[in-house]
Amino acid sequence: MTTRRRLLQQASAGFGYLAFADMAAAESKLTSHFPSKAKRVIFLCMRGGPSHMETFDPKPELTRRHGEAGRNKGTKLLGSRWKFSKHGQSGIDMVELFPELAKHADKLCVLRGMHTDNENHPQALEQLHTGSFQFVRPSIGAWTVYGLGSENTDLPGFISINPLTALGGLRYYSSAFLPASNSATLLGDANQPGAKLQLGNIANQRLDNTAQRQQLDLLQSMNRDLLAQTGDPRVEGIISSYELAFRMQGELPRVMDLSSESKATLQLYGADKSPTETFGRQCLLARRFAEAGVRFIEISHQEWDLHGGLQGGMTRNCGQIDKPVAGLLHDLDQRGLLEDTLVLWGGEFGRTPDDATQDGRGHNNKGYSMWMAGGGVKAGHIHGATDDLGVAAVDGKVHIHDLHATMLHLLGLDHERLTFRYGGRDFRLTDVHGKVVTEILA
Amino acid sequence: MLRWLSLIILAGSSVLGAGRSIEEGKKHWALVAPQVVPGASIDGLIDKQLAEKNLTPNAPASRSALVRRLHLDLTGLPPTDMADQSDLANVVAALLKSPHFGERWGRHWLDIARYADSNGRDRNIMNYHAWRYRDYVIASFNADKPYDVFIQEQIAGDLMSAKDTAQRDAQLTATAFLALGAKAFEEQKQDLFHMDVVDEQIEMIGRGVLGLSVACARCHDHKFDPIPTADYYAIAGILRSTQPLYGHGPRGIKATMFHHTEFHPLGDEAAQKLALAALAYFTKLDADTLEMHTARSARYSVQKRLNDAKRLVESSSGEAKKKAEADLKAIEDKIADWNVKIKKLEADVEALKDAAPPQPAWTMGARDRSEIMDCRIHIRGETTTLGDTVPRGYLQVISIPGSKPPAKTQSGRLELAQWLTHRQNPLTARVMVNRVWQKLFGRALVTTPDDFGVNGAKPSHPELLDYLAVRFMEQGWSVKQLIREIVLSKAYQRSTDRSASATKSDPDNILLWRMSPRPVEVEVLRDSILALSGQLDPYPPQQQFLQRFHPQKDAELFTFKPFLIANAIVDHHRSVYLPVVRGTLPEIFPLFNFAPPERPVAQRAESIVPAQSLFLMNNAWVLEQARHTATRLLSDTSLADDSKRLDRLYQRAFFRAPTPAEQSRALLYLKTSGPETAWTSLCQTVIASAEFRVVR
Repeated sequence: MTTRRRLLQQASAGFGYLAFADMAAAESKLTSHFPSKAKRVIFLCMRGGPSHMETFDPKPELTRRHGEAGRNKGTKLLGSRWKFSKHGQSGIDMVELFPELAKHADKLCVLRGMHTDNENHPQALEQLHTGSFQFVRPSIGAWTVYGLGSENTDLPGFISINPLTALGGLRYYSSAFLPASNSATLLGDANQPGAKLQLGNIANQRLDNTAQRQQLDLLQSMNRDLLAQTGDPRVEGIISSYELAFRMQGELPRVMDLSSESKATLQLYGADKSPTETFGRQCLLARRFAEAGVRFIEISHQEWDLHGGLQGGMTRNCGQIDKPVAGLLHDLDQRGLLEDTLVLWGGEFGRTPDDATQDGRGHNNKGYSMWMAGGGVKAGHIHGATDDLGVAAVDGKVHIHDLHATMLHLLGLDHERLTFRYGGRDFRLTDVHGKVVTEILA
Repeated sequence: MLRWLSLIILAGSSVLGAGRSIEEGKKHWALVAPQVVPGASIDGLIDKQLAEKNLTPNAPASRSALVRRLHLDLTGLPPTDMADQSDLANVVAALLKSPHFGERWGRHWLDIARYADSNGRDRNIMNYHAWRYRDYVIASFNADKPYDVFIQEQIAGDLMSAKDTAQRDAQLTATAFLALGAKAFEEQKQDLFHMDVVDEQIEMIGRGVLGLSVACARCHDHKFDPIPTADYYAIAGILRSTQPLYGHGPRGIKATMFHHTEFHPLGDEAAQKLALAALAYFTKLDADTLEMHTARSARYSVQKRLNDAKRLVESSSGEAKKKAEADLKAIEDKIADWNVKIKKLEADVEALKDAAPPQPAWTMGARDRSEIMDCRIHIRGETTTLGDTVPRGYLQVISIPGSKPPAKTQSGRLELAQWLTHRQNPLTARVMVNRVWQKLFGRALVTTPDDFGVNGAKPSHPELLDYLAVRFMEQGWSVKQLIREIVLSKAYQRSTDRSASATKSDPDNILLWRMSPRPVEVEVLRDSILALSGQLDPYPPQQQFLQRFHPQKDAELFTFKPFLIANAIVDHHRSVYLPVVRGTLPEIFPLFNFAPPERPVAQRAESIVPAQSLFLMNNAWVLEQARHTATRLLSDTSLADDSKRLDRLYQRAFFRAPTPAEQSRALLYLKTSGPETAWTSLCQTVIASAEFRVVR
């Protein structure tokens, strides 16, 4: 495996021009601002907005007042139909729909006071990823790679599995004005369910590896001639880019090949059978990418937007993710990866306690839950609270900007110093906001 | 509301006490009228600065390099005829006359105009008529329409007089410039929706035409540039009095409904008659669609009582249970009734969608609203906290004596357009010549081409910038004259060779001692590949790509089951004619830094990433083009042997002959496998090579 520093050394002669800067962006900010535990992030993105009062934020008062008139005409309060209980030594509350995850309660740091600015999916998802829902801004994954570089230059630094690609979804994973090499490599496509989880153009349909290498040698000899003639650093960048691409097309399929995993491991993640298979494979891939040195890995599960069919939907969704997420935490832990991997779980917002249907919930951006694990956060800890009905965060409030500031802090990056000059001004992930939630730092 | 906080913070001490600060602001270099030194010329001004630094400029490039450079820069297509030895001035004249010139230079403007065939954002509604604007832009550059008129038409074409139908149609189409922005159709607050649209238009006019970011003055006086909030709302009043025509409803479900009153019908009287019938049809389609939506809502309001009713049946007994059962039955019956009605309504709407009458050509655009209004200042950009009313007007810092104030009975766009393109406006011409320069040299004279404000870059050649701006206006704002003069200069024709001494003192070639090698844009790359493989259809399409879809049924590109995915955009016309569906661009476009169509882009990003290499190494379309290229060579009976084929390949791809070393290497490579396989691989190597995507 080529390290970043070695690549930099190999490639150092004759650079100093914008063209290669893009590829070399991984090298541009080699050091973090201060020592840190977390070296990488796995973000389990629950698109649609999971209900906090049916997962990590029990609301006995809501249950008690079930059926009373809600805040708006025609709505009634709706208590969770599932039981909560305390788990682990820390006594983290969890809904009965998470029997496997409950075993890892002592690893979690639950944020119950989350809030965000917008209650529509596209905007809230965009803010969750970029801090902004109004302008095209770099994704937190792009900022992370920009800030820390990649640990493995044979692989992309930011990978998003099962991404949303329509409806402006690509903006959630884009590098915006940051150098393009910081944008996510997308595997699969939520808009084309069943599409294979693979990077486009990673394999050649005509030539085998030897023949392609031979072709590449001819190509590179042409490129080197041009370089000798023009001394154009751009050409130098292209030459390096072909070598990296060739290595990547060998390495990426290897990391993504789950056939070397034992049956026990597949079972651990529930990757062996439905209904956990799809998400289980994503979780297992996330661990393999983390192990291989990918800096920011996002995987996703959708269909949490339960305006109706709450009963069936929550049972289905929790059933699909419970074992995979538990397996991931367990596996990261036993491999010693959890301490320097920050795991984040959550969606773009939460749900309302009152609804007309009595089997669904509306959008709630004023208060909801997310959780973190590993990477230097307090384990077995609950931070913040919503009011008695779960309408709004009232204590330990954490805005998306605060979440971003805290994540960067855990990665050793100061959100006020991680800037990029664009269009005449310095931009940050947190814009002019964000406060590190020091209460949750281990 | 939090969304503006980020901007507010920039305000600092918010009072930019109008008068004095504006007087101060007028002294900023870009706001002072351009001055021409007597006897100036492009080469004179450049050589003067070179001499000051003791830099020796390069000799001219080889003829073949120059011809290739000119072809790629002016038309975006590679040259083919190596035997042509005509004078360079004639080559330039022919390229400026070619219809491909407008396709190339029109595309540059479309970057600024954030041209797209769909809305993007939360409701990706198709802009099925947007292509007329694209074609208007291409035709304008081909006709060398004076740039001032070109700008006026796009801002106020509907208010300008026309000598005939064709001119009127072009002018109406031009105003689509104001309607093409991405709109937040889900926004529930109507005031905010409209102010957001206005804001986007101000950004377009500010950055696109003036090279100034006016839009931050929405919430506060501009921190750096002398633009008080009042000026923002003076222009906002003009645009708020304007209805942009994008053909769809304002929000929610209604966003997909058809509002053809919000299009301009084009054509002669006969066509206008068709418009009436078509409008009646769309009005009916809208009414029926609304009835269907209303029925669905009504059914939902019954459905949501169903669970409660069921529970009541389970939990009650005796008489109460009977009553509960009756209630439940009533609810179920109602739902069943609605189901029948809704099914019928749905079928009717679907059938009606197929029954559109003959229609006139429609175009997106803009027209004045019936109510002309001055805007009140929105404090901190909020629609709920309103301050003083500001009379419609322009930027105070560019006060032009004798320029007309906005008309009382019209929006004022016409006067705004005249103010923008007034000979005494110090920015408009400078901004345009700077852009043209940037496209031809890779580096603009002002390296922040959409920010000529205090925070923008200073010009590397201030006298040259002024010379070009004044010349441009004096020659009737002719873009072709401007380009001709630049490309016939010595500066443009220099070789790209690096001299060691010059590289040392001016590594970035700021003083233009050589021509900088430049990467080609994605359109040039794709079109060149198709030209090489012989698969390019060089003519404008007879049918637009998106006309393969149903204008009524495929009105919106949904997240799930989209009717169009990026991989399905397969077409052999020039890239400028491919649909620009926001969020669904052909793979090659974003990969090679196409201008994101969401905002005005004066300068495209440049990147070299492995994904580009993987695309050229492995992509099925690239392989197919390589195969076509090989077949074309192998089936050409005039080519006697491999070395002749290789000559032809190099000529088509690089417009030069292979060197002896290249030749022997390639011939050796051809022996590694059978002719078809080897030639396909070799052709792919050429396509993937750095030389293929660099202008030298």
